[in-house]
Amino acid sequence: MSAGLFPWVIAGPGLILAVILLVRDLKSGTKGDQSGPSPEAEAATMRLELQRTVNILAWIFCFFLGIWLLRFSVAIVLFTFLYLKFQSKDSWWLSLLLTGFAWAFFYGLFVRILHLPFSEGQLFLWFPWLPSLPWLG
Amino acid sequence: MFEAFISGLTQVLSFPAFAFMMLGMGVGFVVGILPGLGGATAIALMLPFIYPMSPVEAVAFLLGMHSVCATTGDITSILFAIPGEPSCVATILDGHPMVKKGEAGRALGAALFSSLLGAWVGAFTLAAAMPIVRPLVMAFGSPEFFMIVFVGITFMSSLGGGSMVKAFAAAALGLLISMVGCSPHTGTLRYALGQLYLWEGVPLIPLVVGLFGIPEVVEMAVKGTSLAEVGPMGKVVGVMEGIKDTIRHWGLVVRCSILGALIGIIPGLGGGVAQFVAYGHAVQSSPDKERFGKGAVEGVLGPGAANNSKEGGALIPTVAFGVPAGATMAILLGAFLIMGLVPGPDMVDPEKHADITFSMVWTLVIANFICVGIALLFLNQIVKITRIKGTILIPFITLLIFLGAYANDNNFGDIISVMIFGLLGWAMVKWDWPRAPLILGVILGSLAENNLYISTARYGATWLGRPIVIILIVISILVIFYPFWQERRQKQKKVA
Amino acid sequence: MVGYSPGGGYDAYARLLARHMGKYIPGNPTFVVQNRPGASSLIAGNHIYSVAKPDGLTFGTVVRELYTRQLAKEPEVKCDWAKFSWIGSATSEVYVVMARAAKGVRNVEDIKKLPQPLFWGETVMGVGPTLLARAMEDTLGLEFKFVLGYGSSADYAMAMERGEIDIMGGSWGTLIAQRPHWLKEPRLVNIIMQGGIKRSPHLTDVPALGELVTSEKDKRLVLLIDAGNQTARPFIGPPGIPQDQLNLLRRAFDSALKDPALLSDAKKSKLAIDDPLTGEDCAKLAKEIVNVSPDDVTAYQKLLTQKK
Repeated sequence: MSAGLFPWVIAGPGLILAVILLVRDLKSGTKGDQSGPSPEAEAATMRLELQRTVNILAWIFCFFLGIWLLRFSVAIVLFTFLYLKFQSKDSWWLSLLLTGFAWAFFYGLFVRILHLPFSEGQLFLWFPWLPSLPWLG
Repeated sequence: MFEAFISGLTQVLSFPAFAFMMLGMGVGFVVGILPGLGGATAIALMLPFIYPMSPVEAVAFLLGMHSVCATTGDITSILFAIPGEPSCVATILDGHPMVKKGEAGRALGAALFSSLLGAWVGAFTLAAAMPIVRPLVMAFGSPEFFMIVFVGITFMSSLGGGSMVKAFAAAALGLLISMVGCSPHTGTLRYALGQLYLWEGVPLIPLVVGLFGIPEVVEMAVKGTSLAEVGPMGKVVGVMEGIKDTIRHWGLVVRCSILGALIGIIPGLGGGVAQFVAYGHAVQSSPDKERFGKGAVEGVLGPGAANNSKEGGALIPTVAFGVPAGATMAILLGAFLIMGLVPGPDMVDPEKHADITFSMVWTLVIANFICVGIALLFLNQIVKITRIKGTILIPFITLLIFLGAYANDNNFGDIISVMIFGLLGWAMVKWDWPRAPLILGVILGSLAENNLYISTARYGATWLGRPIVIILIVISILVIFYPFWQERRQKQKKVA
Repeated sequence: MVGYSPGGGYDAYARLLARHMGKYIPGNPTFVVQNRPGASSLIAGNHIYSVAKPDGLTFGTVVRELYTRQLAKEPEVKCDWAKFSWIGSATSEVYVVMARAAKGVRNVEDIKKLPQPLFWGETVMGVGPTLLARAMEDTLGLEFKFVLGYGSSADYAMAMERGEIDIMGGSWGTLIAQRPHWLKEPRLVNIIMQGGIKRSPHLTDVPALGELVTSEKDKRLVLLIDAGNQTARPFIGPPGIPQDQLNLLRRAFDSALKDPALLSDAKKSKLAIDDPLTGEDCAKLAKEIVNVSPDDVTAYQKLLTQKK
């Protein structure tokens, strides 16, 4: 059995099937709720859903970018605070408190106890003159 | 042998050992709950601390830690749809929908109590198997391993929820993903896209955490609710209900525990397979399959029991042969060696170290009892998390997702994996594709390929004629056709 | 920095040193062990080589045969075995070839007499024991049927007990520590041969591959294979650590390996400390390996895959 053969024998037919099904699904639209609201209300709901989906995906992606560019500790602090304050619209006090808690959890467990290696953020590698706040972890 | 049995118990209950067990349990509790942080890593990190301990103390500490991980891992699986341990993925399938229905307490109660019963069955299996362990394990070779994996794959037909075709397609994708990495046959790198990161294959934890975790976060943000989507009108069904469910379905719990213990014995299969086989069994043995995937409590009971009972099973080859039944067992093995316990015939010999092996049995029994007891007391508080405003939880859950994935191998590639599989998971949820078969494909794919390759290289075609293999072939045929047969029977009933 | 996840052999040696090396360095610094697994420690190797700063504060351990990939000219290798700042090797090892006693095989001559090739079990081609197996094929005219795909050495050891495979290679130290019952009567295995140019002082009644081969070329091949075992637990730092820093680390390493507390811990964990090598000797060996002639490299590369 050559290295490439086994995967294709097993997965090949499955994948072809998957592609066919996917195309069929895309054509028939997404699974929707059949019950009651009027077409305008439904359209509004769908727009709201789309808006919120894009919103959360964007936040997650920005967190990911933050981890890459700024490293974990900075990204965690920034993301938590910004999300709580501006997306979740919580008070300054609550946002700061919860952000502190998030950072403490990260620092206490993952840096101090587990000594996991966290690389420097990419941005600070490109521009070493930027302040990278090493005390954050 | 009986003296060893009792001696094991008294040694575990004696003072320093008992205290160490409680300490281990505390660590294990936290580790189990945190996704990505695995029991294996925790045990490895604790190794330096066991040097000064006596064998029984060290066993109580490490096993206390380890046995509790599988129990508490279900908690994050159910509450957040993020598996706390890789063996806790199947509990997400029905556990999390129960949370959305406002039944978080019930789900957690069911998971914890079935975990307790499962752990006891596993411990009992370890104890009972000791005299017959060596011939039992010797009877299973690579062909038999392959067939067991194959049976596991056939169970996938019950994971489909709605469309069986989609389930197969998802599983095929999973199998394909498992092929990434070095092929055992030629050592050539397959589909690694020139990335060192992928040399050893796509890592499982970021895949699972991303596939299940990210869509959950997205859904919470979109729906704008708390974890329990039921508004103030819904009742919060409590923990007692979950415990009652476990007792109500005791047959299922016992059967799944036995399945878990047996699968746990097979080196290499362990947690990944046991939970899905148990889930599949729970689905197939229910008259009303439609409820599964939407919050059927049996879907929590089965895997909950199996992922604990497998621990008892896994100790069998580890202790009797020095063949670790999984990554965590491999590290435990290192610990045994440190303590001067050489696995092999001595560990099951009542003249030598059988009492230590029995102390392992007792640790499993007692640690789980205490852990579940404590957890049940606090559970109603823990359940309150499901009522917190969703947008407060979102940053923390996202944080856990990324950190958990990173803690797996300390590789930034894992973060990228989370994003990619997160997107895939979201797409699958949107278009109603089941994700569980994909995970099953990934877990079982390389196991299947490796064992198949060994079987044909070593035995030619004759492995198909081995007795256990034949039995397993029959079982897999039954599993595949059972749903069709059941449907026909129901149609006939309707006609009559 | 360890190129493997916690719990394995390389990790164990690293943590052992981390616990005891600090006291031999002025200021008694604490050592923190970080795991960076992936690609059989190549990720760690590359990281130590190019990303870690050569300030003497970071060093690590990788698989002893990392030079194999370099000799095979694999493009993903971004490090040079000879250019690492060598701190030392904690121990050396001997690979032995074990065959099931039931097959009635006691030595190489017996293998030649068998009608069918023996089944040799291993995880993948290209790891230490398979290099030995292939060398036996190429230099002694033997033939094996390789059964690959086992998850780990524990898995094919169990296959050995089951009779699924007939012959395997592994470390002598691991055999006597973890599977002593294989050698107790009735024996499960016979030790056919050991790797290396000459017999190890721990194992004097088993012939070494180096004795059984005749040509100079073959002897060089044996040396090349065995080089990894001489630096069985290598500790390396990024190239360019200032000489006095490096000497400090090297001396601390050597002293730590003689420290009674370390030796007692090592004994408890069954971690052998046999013939550790100083950083200077390791560096010399590494240079020799990397500078072998192209002919020798070709002969070596043939060992990485099955005979065609």
